[in-house]
Amino acid sequence: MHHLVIGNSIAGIEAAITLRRRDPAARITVVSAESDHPFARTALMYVFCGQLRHEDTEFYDRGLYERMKFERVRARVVSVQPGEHAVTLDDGRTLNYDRLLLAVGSAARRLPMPGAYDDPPVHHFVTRKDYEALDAAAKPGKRAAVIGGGLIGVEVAEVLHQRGLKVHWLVREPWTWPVALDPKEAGVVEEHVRHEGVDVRTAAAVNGMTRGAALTLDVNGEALEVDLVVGAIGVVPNTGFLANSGILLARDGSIETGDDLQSTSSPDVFAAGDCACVTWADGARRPETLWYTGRDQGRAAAAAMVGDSVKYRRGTWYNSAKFFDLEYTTAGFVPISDTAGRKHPGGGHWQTWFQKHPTEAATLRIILKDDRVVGFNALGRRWSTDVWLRWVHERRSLAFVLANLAESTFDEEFMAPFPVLPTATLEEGA
Amino acid sequence: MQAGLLDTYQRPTRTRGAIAWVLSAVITTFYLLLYLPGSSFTPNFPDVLTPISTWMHLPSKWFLYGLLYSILMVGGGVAMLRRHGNSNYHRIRTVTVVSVQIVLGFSLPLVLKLLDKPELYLTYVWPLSYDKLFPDTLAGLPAAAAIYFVVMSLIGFPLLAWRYGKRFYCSWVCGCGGLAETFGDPWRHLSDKSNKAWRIEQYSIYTVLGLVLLTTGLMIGDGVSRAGLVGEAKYAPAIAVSTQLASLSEAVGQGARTDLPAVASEVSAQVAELNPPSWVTDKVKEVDAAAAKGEAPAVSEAIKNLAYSVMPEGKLGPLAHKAKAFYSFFIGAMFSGVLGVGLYPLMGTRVWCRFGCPMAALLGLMQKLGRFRIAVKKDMCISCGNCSAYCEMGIDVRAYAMGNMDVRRASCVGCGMCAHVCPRGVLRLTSAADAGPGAKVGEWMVDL
Repeated sequence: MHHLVIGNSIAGIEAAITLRRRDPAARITVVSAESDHPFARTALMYVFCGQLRHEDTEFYDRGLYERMKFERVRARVVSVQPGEHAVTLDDGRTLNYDRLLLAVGSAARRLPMPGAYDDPPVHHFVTRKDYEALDAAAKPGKRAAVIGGGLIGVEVAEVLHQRGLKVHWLVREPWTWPVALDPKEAGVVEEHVRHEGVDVRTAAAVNGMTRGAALTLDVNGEALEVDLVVGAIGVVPNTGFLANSGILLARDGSIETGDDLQSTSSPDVFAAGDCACVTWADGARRPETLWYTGRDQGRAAAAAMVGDSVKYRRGTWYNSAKFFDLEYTTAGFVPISDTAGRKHPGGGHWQTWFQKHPTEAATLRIILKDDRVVGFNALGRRWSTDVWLRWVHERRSLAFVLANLAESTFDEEFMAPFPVLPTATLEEGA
Repeated sequence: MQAGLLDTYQRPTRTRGAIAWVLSAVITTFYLLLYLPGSSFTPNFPDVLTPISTWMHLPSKWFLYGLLYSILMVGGGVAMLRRHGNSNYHRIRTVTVVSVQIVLGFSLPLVLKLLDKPELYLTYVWPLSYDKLFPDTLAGLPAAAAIYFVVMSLIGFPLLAWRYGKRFYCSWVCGCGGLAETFGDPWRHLSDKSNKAWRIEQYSIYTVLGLVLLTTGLMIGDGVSRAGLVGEAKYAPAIAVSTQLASLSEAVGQGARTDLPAVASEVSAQVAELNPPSWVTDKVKEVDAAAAKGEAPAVSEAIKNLAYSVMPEGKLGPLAHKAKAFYSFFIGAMFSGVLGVGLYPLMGTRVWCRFGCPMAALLGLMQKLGRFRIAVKKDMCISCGNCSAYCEMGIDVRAYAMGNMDVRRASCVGCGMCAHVCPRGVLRLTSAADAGPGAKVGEWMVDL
């Protein structure tokens, strides 16, 4: 049995390890164009600023391949022929497989505005190659525009600012990261990032860019001169090479998979991680671009590849992030606010409890449906998602949650508990 | 929780550059100048620090060392808090460990010394202070202090480690840990993270614990066997000399005798009758030296020591004193002092604590049995590696976080840096009672 794993990031390598555990005799080949050893691209920002070395981001020791008897192939896959059970590499070689796992991840979404990819093109910050190009270009004292109000955007803004560039953070939406934050929370983030010295501009549409001595951006019709631009408007599945393979792709380019993460069109082809289209808790079909779901999908796909009956389901949503010093934690169901403000997510009686800490940059938002807590969203402090999820599953009331809030704290010791104050608001809608 | 980003790897002082090697050489040289003069193995090494301490009106070179140590800890503590001081845990911990050094590690012994009382370092108990359970050490202490050291060594500190983790000592009280956490903070990431280092650590730290147990056992055995000889007639002369020396010590201590040179020659004459071994004649030299300087309290103390030493020697005596001299020089001075601090800029700050300290070994075992752990939030780790990189004990914290396992390791000193630098709030130090498992993440779904 030859298992061929394309991609050695978290989904691919966890799948390979699971395959080895399940099938000690199998031939397992791991292909990567990016690196010899798996590394956490989540930590690219820390390598950029010098907090870590690249090797610190390698999350398994370098003896892993040898110990697990993985064959290492450093090449890019240029095409897959599922009919022949074969893939073609950019060095011209062909590899045959019995089972194929596509864990090829995602790439930066390209900026749509005219001029973005004229020479010199804009930067991104997803792959190691992106990192190397930005590292070489970002010299202290230069001016940078970071386009995109999400997590990669704020991370790039932070490391460029720390290196001594003048940073303009341009967010097209009325507030930062609207998929996760409501306007009040985003206000705390924006104030915090502004306070650090970054020029934060919301509702800032970049309509185009022209190159002269510097790059000139058209931001809402006004000119903004910078030396470099980083596009951080999300990621897309890295599946361009599958276009003519016959493997069925969703409209967003992700690989259509069944509950066992097997391609719905091509037997013996599996997908895991950012490139796999999976079913969400609310029934929607799209990729989960998260680190730990990549791990879980890799393990699930591997189990399916050795013939287990697998039904991959992620369960209730939870996540965390960081905006400069502000940590973000969420668990349960937190509806996305639309750009007009609050949005009613459907039937039932929805309420939102919200409190900002009187002195710290910290907030807590609790979502209720029909008088029970269904979701949490917090900035600043650390919270135990384990406890929050338990409360959600136990259908706890707001009164119970507020009375027991201290149980869910995950702050460092000696922090005063997050206070529950009369200034907290309970509003209709969510 | 980390305030801002660290630029660790952009600084040559922190990445084993030339400056780091020079600094390491300077520190090592200082420690050799401190420990070599007068040691059992290098007794004639020139002593340059004592004249400096005399010029500064300090009672001995050890107070000069204590002063420098305190200054480095204060300066290092300020710098540490500039990097990590946005955390209450680090603020309280750092202020505590620096205060303990200034008050209990420097000022109290100095005041006691100036008052002609025995210098007591209350935070250093057995087995870090390896001689604290030796009978002749305890005999030389006031009764209350002797009881304090026995109780703290065997019961108090181990119980605290069981309840709060060994961090209560290693990161909050201990001087070695205190220097590592303050002055040493810039080099914490240099700890060796390899599996090889971990294997060496397991053997080396328990070997040192074994050595300290062996030495202590021999010294106690020697004390017990000597006590058993007291009634026998052939030892009567030695006991008589010991009694006379004890009263001489008292007389000098109380100022009844001030003719120190005469006292010293009396002591020499009495001891000479016993045809003593070299480690006893060495102690006579200490009396002579103190008398020559005209320091009555030192003379009194040296005679008191001698009074104990001339007591009849049991069969274990020579071996016990060899073991003590070996441990004192190679472990106490060379390993914990010279290498322990000298290697800061090259191998990180906890080389001694991790590979050698018997106190860390003992309290670590209590910690492993006890409540302390680094709680890991399930399925939230992004594998970035900050926790492992900044662990000064070389623990691969990330492997635990990725595996959703709480970190329960004997070696963890509870500095809290892994939790502090974690960008996703995955880790939390705690010594609270275990509340049991949280939700089984991913098994249920919220139904709306």
